[in-house]
Amino acid sequence: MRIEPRKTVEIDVLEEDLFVGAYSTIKAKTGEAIIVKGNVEFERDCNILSSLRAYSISLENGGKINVQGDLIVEKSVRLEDGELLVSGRLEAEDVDVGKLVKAGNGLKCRSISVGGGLESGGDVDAENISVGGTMSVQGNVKGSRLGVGGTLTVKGLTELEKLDVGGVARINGGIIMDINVGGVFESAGKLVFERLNVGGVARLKVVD
Amino acid sequence: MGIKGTHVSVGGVLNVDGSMEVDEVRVGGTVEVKGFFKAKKVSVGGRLKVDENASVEDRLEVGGVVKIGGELKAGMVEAGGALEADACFADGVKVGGKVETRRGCRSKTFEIGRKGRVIGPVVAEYVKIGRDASVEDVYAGRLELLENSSARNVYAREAYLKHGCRVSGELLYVEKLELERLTQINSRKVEKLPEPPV
Repeated sequence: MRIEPRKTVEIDVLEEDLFVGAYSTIKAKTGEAIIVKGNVEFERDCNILSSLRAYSISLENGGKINVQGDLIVEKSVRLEDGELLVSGRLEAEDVDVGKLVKAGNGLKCRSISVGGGLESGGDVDAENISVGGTMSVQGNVKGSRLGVGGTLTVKGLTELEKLDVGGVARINGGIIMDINVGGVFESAGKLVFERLNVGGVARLKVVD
Repeated sequence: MGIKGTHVSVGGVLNVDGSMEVDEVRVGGTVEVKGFFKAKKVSVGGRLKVDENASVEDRLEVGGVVKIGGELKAGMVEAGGALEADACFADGVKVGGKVETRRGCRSKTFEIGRKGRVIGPVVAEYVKIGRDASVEDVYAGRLELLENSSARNVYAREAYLKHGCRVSGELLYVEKLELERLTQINSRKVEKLPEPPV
């Protein structure tokens, strides 16, 4: 199915691939979610006024994909030079976004790579997380490896095998086996680790 | 226990608002621990400050000042500047500048550097007081007071005092006393030395 640019279209369940033209709006015809059993390809910006379930999604030319609900993707999310704003929960196997990912209600995936920033209003559960700029999490972080080029802020607990942050990391305690921070590392809660390596300043605060 | 880990390496400042238990700590600048501190091996370039007791199983090396609010128990303690603690119990203590304890410092070996100052009693099998340094009461197996150093009271099995040394109180020894010229002391050979305070 093909949606022409700047159109608003209602979809229920689609058994085939979906191409969405630039600056289109799509929404569920019935129920809360659009279900696409094939791939969804966005030309540029798109507003999705419902939750979206798809096999995979991609964006080739940059733009902003705005989902007013959950985004549940069976395989990959690839938004080259793009932004992904999800008001609800984001789930996928692999996520690769050039600029920004916002997940209002947390995210779960096997791996996520974001060039710019990652913001999560809930928990983050991912085996491998790579963020070029800033990562901010209101809930807990659980995974294997987390790398952030700039600044990391986690309000909940952090449970990781390895944490690498180039600049500043502020967490609220947890269990992290290997911690490497180039600049400043702050933990405001009970922290268990094996290795802590900080280039500048480490502040470890414990509220007993 | 608040902070628990194995290896800590920090280039600048490590600030722990609570207690900490780790195997090895290496910090280029300053370490501050608000609670108690337990480690196997510690190396700090600048200053180590612990508000409560500190225990370092193996070696504590600090370039500048060690300040422990409670008791320090350690293997070897080396501080370039000063060591302050309520009491210190160690295998060895070697400090360049100043040692200050309220209850005393007990170790197998104790050395204070040239022009150093020791406040509080020192109890050790071997004590070496550097040139021009001063110490209060010393309880030693073997004591060496180097040139122009001074002590308040000395209780030693053997004592070797270089020239210019002063003992303002008494010097009691059991086996041997060697004095160089110009050494001013009030010495007495005894059968048994008084019990050390720590």
